[in-house]
Amino acid sequence: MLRPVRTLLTMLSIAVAVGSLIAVLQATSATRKQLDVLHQTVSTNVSAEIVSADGKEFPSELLPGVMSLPQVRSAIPVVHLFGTVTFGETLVRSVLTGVDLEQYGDFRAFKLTSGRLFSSPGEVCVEAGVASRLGLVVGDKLTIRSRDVPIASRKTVTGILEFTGVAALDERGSVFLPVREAARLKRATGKITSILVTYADNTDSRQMSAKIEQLLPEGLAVSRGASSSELSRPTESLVNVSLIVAATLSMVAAVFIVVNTFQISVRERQRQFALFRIAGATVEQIRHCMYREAILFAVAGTFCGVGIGIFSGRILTAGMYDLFHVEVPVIPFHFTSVLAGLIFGPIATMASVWVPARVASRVAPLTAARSAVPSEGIFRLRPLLVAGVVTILISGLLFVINELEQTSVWTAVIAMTSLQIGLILILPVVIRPGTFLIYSLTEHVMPVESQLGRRQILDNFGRSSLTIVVLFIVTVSSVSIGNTILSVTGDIESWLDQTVTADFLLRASRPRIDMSQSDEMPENFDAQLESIPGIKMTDRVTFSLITINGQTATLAVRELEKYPGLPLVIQEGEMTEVRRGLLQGEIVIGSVLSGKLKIRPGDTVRVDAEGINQVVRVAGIVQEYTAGGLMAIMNREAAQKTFPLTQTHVYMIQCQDGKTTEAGEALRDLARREGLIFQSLADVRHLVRQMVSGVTNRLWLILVISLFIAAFAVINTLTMNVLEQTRYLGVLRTIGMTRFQVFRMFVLQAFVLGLLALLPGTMVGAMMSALISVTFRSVAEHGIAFRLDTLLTVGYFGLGLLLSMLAAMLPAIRAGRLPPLEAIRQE
Amino acid sequence: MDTSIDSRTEIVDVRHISKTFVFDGVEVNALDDVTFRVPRRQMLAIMGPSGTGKSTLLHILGGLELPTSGEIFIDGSPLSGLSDVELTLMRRRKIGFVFQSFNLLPSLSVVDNVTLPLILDGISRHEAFEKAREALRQVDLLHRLQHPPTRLSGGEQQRVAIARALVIGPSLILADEPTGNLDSVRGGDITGLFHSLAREKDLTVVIVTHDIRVAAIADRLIVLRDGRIAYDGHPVADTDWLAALQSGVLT
Ligand SMILES: Nc1ncnc2c1ncn2[C@@H]1O[C@H](COP(=O)(O)OP(=O)(O)O)[C@@H](O)[C@H]1O
Ligand SMILES: [Mg+2]
Repeated sequence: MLRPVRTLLTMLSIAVAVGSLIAVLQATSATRKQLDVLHQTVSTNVSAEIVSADGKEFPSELLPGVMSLPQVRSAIPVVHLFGTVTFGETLVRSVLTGVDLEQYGDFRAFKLTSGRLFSSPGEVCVEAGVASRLGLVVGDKLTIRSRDVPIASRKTVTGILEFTGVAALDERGSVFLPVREAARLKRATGKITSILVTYADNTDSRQMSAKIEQLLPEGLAVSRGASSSELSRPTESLVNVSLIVAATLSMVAAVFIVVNTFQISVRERQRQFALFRIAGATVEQIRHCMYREAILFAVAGTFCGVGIGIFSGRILTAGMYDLFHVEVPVIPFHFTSVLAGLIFGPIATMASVWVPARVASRVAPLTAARSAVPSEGIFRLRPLLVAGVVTILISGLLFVINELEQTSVWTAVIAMTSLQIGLILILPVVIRPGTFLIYSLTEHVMPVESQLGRRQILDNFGRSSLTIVVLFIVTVSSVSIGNTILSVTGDIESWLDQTVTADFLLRASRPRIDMSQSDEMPENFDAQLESIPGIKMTDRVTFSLITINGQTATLAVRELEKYPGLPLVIQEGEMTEVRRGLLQGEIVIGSVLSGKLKIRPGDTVRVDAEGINQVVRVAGIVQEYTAGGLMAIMNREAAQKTFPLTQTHVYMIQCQDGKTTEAGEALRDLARREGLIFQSLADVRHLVRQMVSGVTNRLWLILVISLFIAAFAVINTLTMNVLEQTRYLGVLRTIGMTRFQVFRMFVLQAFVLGLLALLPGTMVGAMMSALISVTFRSVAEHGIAFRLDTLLTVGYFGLGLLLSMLAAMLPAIRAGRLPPLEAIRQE
Repeated sequence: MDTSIDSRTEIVDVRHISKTFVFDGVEVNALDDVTFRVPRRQMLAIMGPSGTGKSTLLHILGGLELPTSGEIFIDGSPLSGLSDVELTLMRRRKIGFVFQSFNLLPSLSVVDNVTLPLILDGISRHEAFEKAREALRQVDLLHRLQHPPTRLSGGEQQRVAIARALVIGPSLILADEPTGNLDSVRGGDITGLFHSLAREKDLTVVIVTHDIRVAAIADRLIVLRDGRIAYDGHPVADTDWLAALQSGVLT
């Protein structure tokens, strides 16, 4: 009667091992891909941009020098100019960008939706928004006019470009033409307006910018790409590392389960093997018998596991949708992970059976005559403890080295992995006292269940430890990778909240470095805007080219009082102070500019704007990368008291919740009527939010899989406990233990095993993710802000405990149902 | 229906029970229309060749197995219709089991084995410990309280098992070949213990045995053969039982 259950359990444990490996590999690779896509979306590949502080063009001779720097992956010249595009009757304002489109793809994500790239000075490519507004198709001829040259030139459209991600924001309304031709139209032949640079991976962009800065003559500045530095490469590799660790650990956990199963299976049959030996079986024969059996298990288990692995992702996906109504992207069929499962299954099985088979074959024939089950070899705790402490010390040393030397990401990764291994090694040491402690608490409520359960856990110390270790590993990796990924996505969200404050932008022309030269908005525009329903708030922004203490800079004047906080990333200064200062007419200064002028909050600066000279107090320093970082910001009302800045260059519009679509449509119409550039940030917000939730949903999926592995470990161990202790249970039932008491004993056992693993597991997991973020902060220039997600951490703990107990139900019910006689009669 | 029996004097009342096992499609009549009553404080020995249903009878008395037909009353109440919990509680509070192979829990100490049924019943540890001491004193094992049972000799182990059966203050002890694993000296000790227990305490002992000396001490002897009662009477006054037994053994 017991044999089929054991056979099934052995096969199932191999299947679960293989299946979970495949599922985790698939899910992690999909998550990684999705994070990649997300990053590509929110970060342009522009590491830095070289511009002149006053927005003027400069000679392109610099280019070879920049390109020869070893860390520079690529650098391309760009010429920007403002102009108009006419097609038929329609005229739109546009930004004319002279750039080599072949190379531009390294910097901005776009695809050619129709036609081809331009190849001669007479040809242009247009951004899809322009094409749709003008009704352009490939082959049409349009007229472009530069503001600098009063001559119209006819161009043929060879291709239409669609920009994706954040690039779509910057490039809306652009017309692309060869660099030389753009320079000619700007009357600046041989000159350019900026150089776009990308660095190689793992480049310290702060150092690199300084290096480039040394090459530049006076008047040129390096500005860093805002979005890409927000989400630096180490963050990505950090997520990759945690995903790899999670996959590895799930594999380890799976092997543990299989080893456990075989070990128990051998112990259970010790008597049988002994009888074989008495009957004349040789050691070899018994071992081979086990290997043959294992091969069968391996083949059948792996086969089932591949099925489980492939389908679990899909089933879970569907299940998640039903449960939470969140869209979880379907895990694509991933051949490598299936292959990994196919290889892993047999190898893990044979490796797992190796030791037990040797033990079994060495059974002395006389064991059969002994009635007592030989007790499990005593777990040697001391060597484990020593090894664990040594490993932790080593990891501590690595952390110190990393902190002092800031060597590389991998020192940190090795340090963290060894810390984790060290903790796993010392975990068994706390199991005994932990078991006593927990049971001493439950003893008052359930005395028998506690007393007997404690015995069972401690008598099978090896098995209990393995189970706890498996649960611990799964918990630590789940909680740490969960918190890490949520921190990363949280980072992205807060980047989104801080930088993309408006739903829509309306502007006469797209401002670049020379924003002060932006066209002005049509008159009476404010009144037109007010008539559009669904708008919550409008921030009118004015740009002006000014000097601060003699240094040329761009001043942005905004209606900051309309924001509840401040739509600025404050670097120095206290939020409420800065806000109050701004409302009183003080100025905030970009970090690059403040560095250049050596200004601190509280200092006063001389501001020369629109012909007026005024001394202004500095309220704070903000992170600001536009205009090469040579940027200052004032509040509109206060600034207007001093400087004649009445025009508006850009309208930043926030919509009421739920009104975004209709207000957007109305604004689009308005923009079309007035020939303005209309940008929808709502799309970007939506896109980014969607991708973030794609990543987090995938994360939930991984966590669910990991919980299943954990639950299976508990089922496995408890079922084996039940199988092994039928006799014991029979005796208990005969002397008056009720079914319910037996049931409770096993559920309580699962609770204790779960608690012993989950409590340290969630704590260590949370600690790990904090450590990850701290460590990466020292490695990378911009670490991620650590957030302990309480829902995830506490939720995982609670759910894990609940699931362990649920997993115990099956074996517990089985144990309760055992007819007492069946057990006693076994003799 | 004959229900006039004074249930206060009869601790066991077995009426026409039969038990048929079906194993691999083959029917085995382990018990066939067995009827008897056991008054309080009696020591009843059951003998019979192997496979005649002695253990089955004992199991049915303990509510571990249900008869195919017939009725059993323990302490005046019928077993039929009792739920599993009720049967378990009956075993826990009224019946002490003693098996041939002791069935002690190897991981618990002697005293923990003995307190087990009390703790199962929710009695405080302290009180349970006191009762266990008392029970172990009766079987003369006070000096081995904290030992693991595996360190004890067979006879000592069986005395621990008896203490475990006694500790609940049962009205009925069901012993299945308790001396089967012991040498004759130890076996004699155990039998003597049962005998004096039945005398001194308000206790009924039903003991299945192969040992004629055990049967000789008993107040009454039932010989089973092929699932039927072949003899029911005093073990010494009448020696028919020997013939009954021997014919069974020899054929
Ligand atoms: N669970 C069972 N299934 C099938 N047959 C059984 C079962 N239990 C007992 N028997 C059969 O019933 C008969 C009586 O068994 P048992 O009461 O153990 O005999 P005794 O204890 O007198 O040796 C035997 O033939 C035995 O094989
Ligand atoms: Mg028997």
